[in-house]
Amino acid sequence: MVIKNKEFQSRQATGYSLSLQIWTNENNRSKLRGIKPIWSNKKGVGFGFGWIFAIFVGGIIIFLAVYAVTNLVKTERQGQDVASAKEFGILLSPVETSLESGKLAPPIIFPSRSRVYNICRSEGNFGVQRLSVSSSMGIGDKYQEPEISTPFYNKYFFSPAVVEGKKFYAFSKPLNMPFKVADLVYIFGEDNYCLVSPPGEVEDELGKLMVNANVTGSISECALESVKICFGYSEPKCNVLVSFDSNSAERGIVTKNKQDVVYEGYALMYAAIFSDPELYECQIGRLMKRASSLSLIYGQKAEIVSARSDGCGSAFGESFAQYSKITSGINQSKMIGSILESSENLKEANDAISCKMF
Amino acid sequence: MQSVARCSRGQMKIQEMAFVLVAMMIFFGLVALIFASINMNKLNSQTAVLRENDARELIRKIAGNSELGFTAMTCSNCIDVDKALVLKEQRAYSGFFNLDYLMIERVFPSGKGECSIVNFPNCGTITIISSSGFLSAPYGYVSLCRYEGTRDKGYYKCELGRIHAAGKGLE
Repeated sequence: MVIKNKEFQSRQATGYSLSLQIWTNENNRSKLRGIKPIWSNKKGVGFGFGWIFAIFVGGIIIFLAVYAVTNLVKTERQGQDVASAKEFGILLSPVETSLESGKLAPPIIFPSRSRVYNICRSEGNFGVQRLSVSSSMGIGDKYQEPEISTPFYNKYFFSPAVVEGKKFYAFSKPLNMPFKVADLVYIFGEDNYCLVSPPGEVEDELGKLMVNANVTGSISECALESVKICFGYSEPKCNVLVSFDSNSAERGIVTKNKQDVVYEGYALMYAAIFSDPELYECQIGRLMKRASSLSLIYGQKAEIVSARSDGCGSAFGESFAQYSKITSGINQSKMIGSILESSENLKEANDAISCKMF
Repeated sequence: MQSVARCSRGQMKIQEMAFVLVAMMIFFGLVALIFASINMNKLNSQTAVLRENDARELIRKIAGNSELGFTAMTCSNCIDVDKALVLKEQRAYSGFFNLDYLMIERVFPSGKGECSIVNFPNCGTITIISSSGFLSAPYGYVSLCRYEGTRDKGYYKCELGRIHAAGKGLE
């Protein structure tokens, strides 16, 4: 009885739902007939205050979040880059020579492809060398313009203004004029170098110190993408041209980026080859300032030694003071020839005495 | 009633198991934590030793600087005492080495007091840079050399010394 009653109820319900469906279909049709184009709707779409407020505040929150994250990433990158520049400078400290004529550093490998910016300023007592690093990242700009650089007052890095790569090589050579002024550190990236007919001494030295250099007799044997350094002859394909003085290969002119710079000695020749002409000129100014100060130190040392050892070293007299004066006035490579005579005189005077100053 | 009793015993077992698992996790977590902290301590001490060695190496490099190095003869890690005495008086060099402290100490023969051009060699230390802002100054052993004797009958005399340095240039 109960079952029959339930069946009856369900059938009744089905009939009601069918009739309701038919009614709604009819109702829909009449509704469809009544649809008009949207521009004829005078009521418009109603947006409550809650919606507008939510969109406005949500937009601000999303903007602030994106801004904060971008700034955080930027600051983090800057911090990492500054630390990298500092580490880069410190890693190059062991490359400096003590008794060696040249020293090769193990390659410095960055975690990602990076740019090393090399800036030189010759103002102040000794000028300053500023290094900054910008590592490539997937977020934002590939390379961020470095805002903070690490200063080095007693180092002399020779490289193009911007060196890019993952692996960086460096070697050093002391600059003696006539006493040791400083260690010059040459930095280069992963580019291949082609040395076209270099002098024997340069071939031997650079062959040992440069891992990515190839020595050839003719420019046609150089790899297409290599940096071609031509010694003693001019060729349009040469990226760097080294023109020797008629008497010696240790003096001459290096032409790079259509600019001429003068060198004296192989240490400065390599410096001119590896760095931009502007950077080279600035470093010459810095090196001469240091040579001037060192000359004053040697002058006073000569007085101390002379007083202690019954006049040994007194022969120098005012030589160091004069040398200091000359070097302090040099701020361009073309003026470097003016110190050669004084430098030679100092060397001869030093060689002649038993209490050597340098 | 029977099914209820069986169910609660099972739940008890599950709970026991859960407690044991949690206890085991805590135990192993603690063991891992102790192990990690011991390892971190070892790592820290190793880092400190490496940093000290690096600092010593850099200090020896300072000794090879043109302003301090003894270049009259072939000598590695040798300081020219006369140049150091002159350098002490040079104001142009402030900030050049990027150091807060740079001092040369005579170890053997030892002496007392600060050195100057007048009282040398009857003294103990040559302080080239002395400013505050450093906690400790690592040192490296060097030779302190100078020319002794009269005119051509002289010789180079080297003594044992230490160079102490601290500052940003070593960090």
